[in-house]
Amino acid sequence: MTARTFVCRCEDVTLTEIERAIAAGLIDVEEIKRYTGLGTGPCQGKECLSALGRLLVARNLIAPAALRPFTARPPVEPVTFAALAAGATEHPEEPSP
Amino acid sequence: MTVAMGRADTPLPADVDVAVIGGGIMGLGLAYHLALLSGGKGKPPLSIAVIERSYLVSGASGRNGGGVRMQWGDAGNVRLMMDSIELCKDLAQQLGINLWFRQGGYLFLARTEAGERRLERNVQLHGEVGAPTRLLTAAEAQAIVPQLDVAEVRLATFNPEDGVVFPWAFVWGYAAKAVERGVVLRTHTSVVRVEPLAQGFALHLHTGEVVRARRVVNATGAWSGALNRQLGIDLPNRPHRHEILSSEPLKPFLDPLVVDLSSGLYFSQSTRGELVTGISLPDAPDGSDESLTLHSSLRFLTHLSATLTRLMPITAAMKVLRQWVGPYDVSPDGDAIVGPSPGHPDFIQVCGFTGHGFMMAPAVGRLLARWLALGEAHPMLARWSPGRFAAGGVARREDMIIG
Amino acid sequence: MSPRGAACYRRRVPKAPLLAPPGPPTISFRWDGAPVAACPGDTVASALIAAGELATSRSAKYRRLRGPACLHGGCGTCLVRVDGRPNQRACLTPVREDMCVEPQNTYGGLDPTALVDQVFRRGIDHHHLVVYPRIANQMMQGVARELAGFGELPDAPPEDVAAVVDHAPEVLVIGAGRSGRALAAALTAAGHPPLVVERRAATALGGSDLPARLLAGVGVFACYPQERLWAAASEQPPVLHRLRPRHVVLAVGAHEPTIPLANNDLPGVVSARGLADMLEQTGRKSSARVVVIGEGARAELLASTLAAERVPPARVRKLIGARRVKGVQLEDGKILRCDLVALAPDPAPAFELAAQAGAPIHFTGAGFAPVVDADGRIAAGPAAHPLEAEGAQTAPPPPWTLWAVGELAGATTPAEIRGTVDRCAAALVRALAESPDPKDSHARA
Repeated sequence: MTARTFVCRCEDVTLTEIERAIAAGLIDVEEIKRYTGLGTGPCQGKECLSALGRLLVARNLIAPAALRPFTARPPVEPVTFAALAAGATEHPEEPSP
Repeated sequence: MTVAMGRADTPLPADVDVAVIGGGIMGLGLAYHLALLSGGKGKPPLSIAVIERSYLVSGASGRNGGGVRMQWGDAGNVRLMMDSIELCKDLAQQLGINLWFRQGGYLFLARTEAGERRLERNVQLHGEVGAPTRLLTAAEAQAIVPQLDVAEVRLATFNPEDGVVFPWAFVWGYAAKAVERGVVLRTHTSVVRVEPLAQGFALHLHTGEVVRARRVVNATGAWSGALNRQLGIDLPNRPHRHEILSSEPLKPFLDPLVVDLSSGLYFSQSTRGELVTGISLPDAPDGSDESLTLHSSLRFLTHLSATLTRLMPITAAMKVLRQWVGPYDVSPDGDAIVGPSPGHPDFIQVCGFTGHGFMMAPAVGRLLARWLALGEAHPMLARWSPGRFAAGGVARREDMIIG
Repeated sequence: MSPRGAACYRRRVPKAPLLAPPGPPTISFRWDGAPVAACPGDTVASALIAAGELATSRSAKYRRLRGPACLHGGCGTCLVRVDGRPNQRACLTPVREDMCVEPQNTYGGLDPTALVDQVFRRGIDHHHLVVYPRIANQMMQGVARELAGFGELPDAPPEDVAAVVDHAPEVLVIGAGRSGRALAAALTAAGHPPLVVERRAATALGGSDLPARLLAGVGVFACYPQERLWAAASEQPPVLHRLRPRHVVLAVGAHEPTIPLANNDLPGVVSARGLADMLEQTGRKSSARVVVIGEGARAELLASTLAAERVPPARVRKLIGARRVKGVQLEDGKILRCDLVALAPDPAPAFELAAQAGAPIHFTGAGFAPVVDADGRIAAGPAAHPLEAEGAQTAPPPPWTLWAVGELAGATTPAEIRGTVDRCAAALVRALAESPDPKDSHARA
């Protein structure tokens, strides 16, 4: 088995892929997320975001004070459409113009 | 492999022929096509710069659902989208990047008599224009998407040429190929002031740099109003907040993008397996939806979930992975606002696409570049003229705006 | 019962057990068709690891075997199909008699890893994979679509009727871990029993100090400052909870990020913290050979708790094994044989809810965290998105005060955690005394 080093296991993003993105000039966490797919899987970045942050800081690509996480989008826990549907207040049959 | 995502430190020339403000799909698609056309027949190539205030795909180009369809209510839009879809077929090879364009069709569902009439009228029109849309019964619709509850569906239409794409790659692909052809792409840079000159404009950047441009293209979509106001250009397009979500990834189960006309609900399955879905939401009572705010809401989640689980009950057991917001750039008649600005003919608008710019961009970038570089006319350009609002009154309104 | 029953009846070779049960197992469930013995208090993940079943799925791109890793509900690789529902977190799902648990995305035991490795030795660049010619590109997209995705569609919609419940507690505590429970106890003693919401099921919460007002098995999934509420939900039964508290205490702890080491994704590579907590909660004893990889006092403590040898990440060349981790190869070539590798990184605070609430977020060196004062108070309001236009409407300040305790407030050791709890409890009690709830919060909750 080929030895691979993973930063994001959900989307199978390896250290090599991150390094290629950096080599292409991407240093913004939001850009690296979008280009590599890091943090867009089932865990939504809980495992990989801080690992990416440490990597960028360790390589002097960004000052720690300037480092920002990518947007923490809801939901942070999985939630079913069934549970959400129970909270509907608008009438779902209201037709749009 | 070529990757050109733009950089914050790309040197900008002091003078350019065309400066495009906004590195979304409209700005970069136009820059790419302009670069393709420029320099022909012994003419010197155009110098082109694209200035994006954040990272690529940060705006509406990175926030949409990736639907591409011919099923419109108006012949001009149907023809435009037939062009766009034709272009999409080998665009991945032209741009050298996977676009994940998949023609699974669009399935429109009507649950009201009015909706039924709209679909019948569309199929008639599409037939005249040459788009392969066909009418389906509820049972036929269910044959395409077996999980649908079609008890309330009166009529459906299906066009197998419609499809879905992975939106971000279009932007990166246009960027890479534009840069390859000499376009200067600067990201993370805001244009803070537009100063009219005797010939062209001076763009003052937040870095203190100044770029003079013979012509300027405003491709900032929902963000365009602030730039226009600096020049006293009064156009009626306004930002409107729209929400969308994606589910956990599942194995392929859904081929077409499904639209419920009555509720404005749409959903499709991405290549990665996520259900990507949004809905028309009645405006928030505080009016916040009509300003450029990007906050997600529980109201959207609950309203969408109630509608979705009713139409497709199996989704009740599926989970939401993430929700986000993107602005529509809404024009009063649903038609784009493209062309020379009133009072400033060298300040060119590419705005007002009302939530459907992404799917139109491949065709728009090409026709607009032909007009700018070669002076070639296109029937949509007359219709999209920014000057049309001065006369007052809106003649027609496209009624197939979704989401 | 799954419609894809074939996998459910596959014969399995029993594996060597890794974790000894606290008593005779009294529960039996089916894993990939074969019975697995479990104890009350087990989660699906603890029972599977105990039985030596470490792989639960194949990965999205490289098709590598993956299994439970963080053991804390924070990663995405222990997702299994439970009684026809896809993508259930094995580490948070309590075992039940006769439940049918199935692996996902495994292709009936076929092993495509070798093929993928052969073809994509240097990695898969999905943006530029087989772009040319068009016909090959279309075929590639078709194959990619079939390989992508994770679980299959659910067997059926939920049978339970969905419901919505509104709460307006004086104090909402999110998380019933050590710091959340300690804070709840302190507030209760001061006459302000908070509502505590915890995503783990009640059966998975050990200890005798459970808060009186506890919503267990309910995950707080978002803060919506513009709508002035927090939202939480349970899956079974499907219930949405809308919470409108006056004070919110985030006791959400920290994530265990991965450590970038070669083959850090092998089944059997778990979080040291997650493993230690799992053993404590289930009462199981490890009979496995464990190697802890980490640096510093915390890693050392975890290694001693797990009776494991510890090596710093810098000394590791790679983890070895194919279908599961078999050992750690050091830079000097030496191999430490083991059954489990336990990663002990510096924890990364679970900052996400604080960020949604508008808290200023900074990088701590280990991860991201909200800016808190000495009492754990967070100055948070609806924050403008960087891309929102100047002059965009901003919502009024939220009707709650936001606090953090424990690891989210920067604490790492038990003593520091206790300190954040004590200071926050004292400050909260003062705040409640200065501004008593106009209504009886019990009645409203």
